[in-house]
Formats: sequence, structure tokens, C-alpha cells
Amino acid sequence: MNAAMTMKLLRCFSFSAVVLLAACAWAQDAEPDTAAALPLDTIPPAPVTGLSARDYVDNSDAGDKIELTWVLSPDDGGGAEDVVSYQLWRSGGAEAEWDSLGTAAAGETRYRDEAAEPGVDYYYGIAAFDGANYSERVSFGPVAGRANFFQSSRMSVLVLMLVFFGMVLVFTKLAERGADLFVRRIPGLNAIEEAVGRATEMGRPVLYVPGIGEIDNIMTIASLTILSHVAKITARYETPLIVPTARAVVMSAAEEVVKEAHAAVGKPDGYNPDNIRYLSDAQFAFAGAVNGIMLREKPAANLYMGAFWAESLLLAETGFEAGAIQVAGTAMVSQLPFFVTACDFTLMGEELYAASAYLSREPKLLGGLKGSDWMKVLSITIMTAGVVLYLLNPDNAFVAWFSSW
Amino acid sequence: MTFIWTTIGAILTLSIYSFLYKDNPFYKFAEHLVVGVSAGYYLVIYYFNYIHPNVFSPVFLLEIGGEPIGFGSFLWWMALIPGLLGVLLYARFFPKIAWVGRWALGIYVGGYAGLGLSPVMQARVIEQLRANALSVAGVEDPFAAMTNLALAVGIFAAMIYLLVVKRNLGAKNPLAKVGVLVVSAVIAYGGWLVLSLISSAGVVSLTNILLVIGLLGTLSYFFFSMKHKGILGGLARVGIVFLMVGFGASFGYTVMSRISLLIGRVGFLIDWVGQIRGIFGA
Repeated sequence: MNAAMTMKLLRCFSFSAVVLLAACAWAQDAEPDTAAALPLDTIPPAPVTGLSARDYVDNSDAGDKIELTWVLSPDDGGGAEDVVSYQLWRSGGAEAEWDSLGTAAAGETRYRDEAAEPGVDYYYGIAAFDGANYSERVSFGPVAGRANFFQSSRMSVLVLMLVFFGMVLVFTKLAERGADLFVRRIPGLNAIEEAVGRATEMGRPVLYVPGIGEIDNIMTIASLTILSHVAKITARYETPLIVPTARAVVMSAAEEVVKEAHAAVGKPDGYNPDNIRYLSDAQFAFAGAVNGIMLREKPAANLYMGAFWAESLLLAETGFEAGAIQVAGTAMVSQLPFFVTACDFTLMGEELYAASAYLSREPKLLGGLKGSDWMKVLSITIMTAGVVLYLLNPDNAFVAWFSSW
Repeated sequence: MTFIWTTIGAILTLSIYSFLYKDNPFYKFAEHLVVGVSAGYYLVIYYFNYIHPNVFSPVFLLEIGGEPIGFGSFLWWMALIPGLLGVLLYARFFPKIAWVGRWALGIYVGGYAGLGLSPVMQARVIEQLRANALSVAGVEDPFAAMTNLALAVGIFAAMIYLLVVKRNLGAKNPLAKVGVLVVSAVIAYGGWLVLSLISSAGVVSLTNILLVIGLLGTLSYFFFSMKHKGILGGLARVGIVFLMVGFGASFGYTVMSRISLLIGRVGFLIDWVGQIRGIFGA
């Protein structure tokens, strides 16, 4: 073979190679068109099996959660491998219409319905979806959500309540057996006695406002205990005691308290029922009427003990203007600033309850006060431990437990 | 007609404001009017909002919210029993059977307390304890954590010292002199730390430490089983300082909202004057 022949063969081979490569490239570019030309998928995926629904139970389940589980469609992870998602439906009855509930991704075998009405029977349906077709719908039901009988996430509440009431019961029993349970004297109580004494000296009445809370309000109940103490002093000194009330039941309770106090100090005739007055249930009508009493009957001592709302400053300010000595006591945190500002002395928050326990020496009140005192010690201990342990190591086990207890 | 009602409202508003001068017949009239009207108003409100829909309608008309109920059914009994308990409250007007009223009151108070116990313990005790115990969470760096802890202890010790030791021992006592040095050192150290902590995390952490100190002091103030002397007395004094700071802030905030109410009322009076001018073409 001569050189010219060799060159010809080489050129021919090169040309054939270029043509072949170009043909391959053209074929590659043309591939999408070939695919587009394929017929649409009309074959639905195989349905799921083993659909089951049950009431979901967790720590804070109010009966509004139902959990669905199923076995994957044979075409999900196998078979045609074309399942892209699962469509879920819910209906309120076997014959009722299906409402769309949501979707689960391919490969998922669990779905939680978190919007169920507790106690309502539901039916659930599921179908696999391959992007074009739904499989046959599989259904399950009826199933209903039930609220948990015991909410285990509130275990800490139960434990602390048991501890607290345990302490209250122990101290109450001790008080009933005559143990000398120390309660420090509240300075405000001295102020009450001074105020009543001053009113007596001036020959003017004492005004006692038991708040505008209902009789079920613990502040009102504490206030009635203090009223009994005040009524005994005024009865002894024969000083008029005016008690304006905003609730009918509180008025009748106050009547009993003042009447009993007069009887207890041996001066039942000194009791004047006209001085225990119902004014109005309306907050500001009550405040207006009490202001009127302050200016017209000119009490020398104003005592505000109980539950107060926005009328607190109206009362205390008017009393201040009228020149009365004023002592207040309330556990309404939002009203304390006004009493602190406008009154001569204020029993703040729990001091109101402590005062009633101190005065009455009633075992149940003493037990409650002592119990809550030691609960505070426990709280301080827990809190200090939390702070110190957190600072030492934010990742320690106690902190982890404390964050979620 | 609207103008007449607005005028009555404006005159009553002015009558109430006249109290700022002194007690007078206009104020007395407005006061007695509002007390009398409110008594009648509340009687009607209570009847139509509570007694009629909750007792009268189910027991006698056999329907609740327009839905019929059966005579003797569970819902019927659930309306009748509380209604009867309510009637028992009036037993106190008859001294011989006054004690019966305590049953109703006992069920009412007991039920209310039982329902409230768990949420109150959760929201007012446990959540606050947790939040305060972990409130130093702004500190990630162990060194910063320890220095903050030292600062907290220092501030606490300094406050107790200033409030208790110096008062009880007198300034000339050697212990008091040592205390002055300690307090000075703590204040200087605290100042340096405050400067070094002027970053968002540091400020958060410092605020939270103050919060913890305030809470400990305030809880101590409300401890009644011991006299407020010594360390407890110092803690209680710290608590009262925090309480007063809180009350001051609350007072200012509320006065601000009351001023806005006053502005609203003055606006009403100005509108009324505008209406008068419109009528008389002034």
C-alpha cells in the first residue's frame, strides 16, 4: 500500500468518525423529543394496605389527635417506583363526603390529624399518587379521639401541690393541737389600731371598705376576718363603724361579722345595722358613693381591705384629701402602687392574708400561711439551685430535667 | 335627640368634675343618680344574662339557647340544681335556717378553688420558677458565667452589708471597716464587669441576674415565720426596694392611661360645645 492510498484511507476513516460523532450528538439532542412523544402514564399506582387509625395519646392530648398508619404502596420503593405522595381524606360518617386532610410524602407511613373534634367518629381514606393518577382509595373507621384521663405533662403540678397541701395539713394539725406557731406581727396591724384609736379620740366614725370582690374572692374573705378584729375594737370604744359594700352577699356577711363582734365584746346594743350598707354593684357608682360618705360623714380613719380595681385611687385620694388616716390592704398587684402612694400604711399582697391569720389564730388560716411560707423556702432553694447549676454547666442533667419538668 | 342625650352626658360629666372643687349639690345629684340607675341596671342585666338563660329558660321553658331539652333530662337537672343552690343563699334572711346557705357558698367556693388550683400552680409558680431559675441563659461563655455569678453574689452581699451589718454594728466596728473595703472592691469589680458586659448577651444576663436577686429578696419579704432580722431582714429590705421600684413604674404607667381617659372625656365635652355652637350658628 503506497502512501497516497494510506492517506485516502485515513481521510475516509476520519470523515466516518466525524459523521458518526455528529450523528450521536444529534441523537442525544433529539432524546427529549423522543421521550415527549411517549404515551402518558395512565396506570395508577397500587393502593396502600393496612391503613389503621387510632386515638393518639401524648402528654397533653385533649382528644383532638388521631394517628394514621399504613403499609407503603408496592409501587413506593419497589414495583413501578412512581409514587410521589399519599393523599389523605377525612369524613364525618361512612356515607358522608370526604374532605381533604393533607398529604404525606412518599416513603411516609404515618400521619397525625391534629384537628379532630374529641369524641366524634371519623372515617379516614388514603390513596397513593404517582404525579398523574391516584390509586384506589383505602378507608378505615370509625375512630374517635379521647382526652387523656391523666395529663402526665402536669406531673410537676401534682407533685408540688401534694408537697404544698401536705405542709398545709401538717401545720394545720399542729395548730389544732395547740402548737405555738410563730407568725411575725404585721406592722400594718398596729397602724389599724392607731387609726381606730384616733377616730375614737376625735369622736368620728371609722370607714371600712371590704373591696368590691364577691364573697368567693379570697381577699374578701380575709377582709371579713380583719373586719371582725376592727369591729371588736370599735365596739369596745363605742366608735361608729361604717361598712359600705358593693355586693349583696358581702353585705349580709359583713352584717353577721360586725354583729358577732359586738356580741363578743359584750356590747350587742352598740350594733347599728344601718351602718352596713349596700351601695351599688357598679364599680364607679360604688366609688362615687363611698367618696360621698367620706366627705359628708367625715370618718377619721379609712380602712380599705380586700379586692380593689380601678376605684382604688379614687377612694384613697379622696380619703387623703378629706384628711383621714388611711390603711389599705390588697393582693391586687396592679392597685398596690396607688394605695402605697395615697395611704399611710399598706398591707401588701400576702400580708393581707397573714394579717387575717395573725388576728384570728384560726388553725386553717395559720396552716395555710405556714405552708405557703415553707413553699417559698422550697421555691428559693429550687431557683437558686437552678441558677447555680446552670452557670456551672448549662448542659448538665439537672438543667435538662428542670427545663422540661 | 342625640344632642339632648349628649347634653345630659356633658352636664353629668361636669357635675362629677365639680367634686374637684368640693362636695356640692350637683355632685350629690350625679352620684345618687348613677348609684340608683346602676342598681336598676344591674338587676336587669343579672336577670337577662344569668337567671333567665341559665335557670328560668331551661327549667320552665325547657330550652337552652333556643334548643329544646327534655323535662327531667340531664341538662334540666344541671340547670335546676344550681338554681336551687342559688335560692339557698337567701336562707340567711331567716336566722333559723341561715346555715343552709353555707352549702351553696361551700360548693361555689370549693368548685372555683378546685378548678383554679392546677392552672394557678402551673402558671404562677412552676413557670415562674423555671423561667427565673434558667433566666441566666443569656450567658454561654463559662468564664462570663462565673464572673456574672461572682457579680451577683457581690451585689447581694454588698446590699445585705449596707442594709444590715453597718446598721447593727456601727461604722466604727472593725468588721464594718472590712465591710467597707469589701463593698468598695465589689462595686469597682461590678463597674468593670458592667463595662465589659455592654453587649447584648451581657446586658440580658445582667438584667436577668438583677431579676433573680429581686425575686429572692421579694420572696424573703413575704416570709412570715421569722422576724425580719439579720440576713432575712437584709434580704427583705432588698425585696422592698425592688417592690417599690416596680410600684413606681406601675404607678406611672397607670397615671398615663388615666390621663388618656381624661383626654377622651375632655374631647367629649369639646365636641358637645361644638354641637352647641353649630345649633346656635356661632
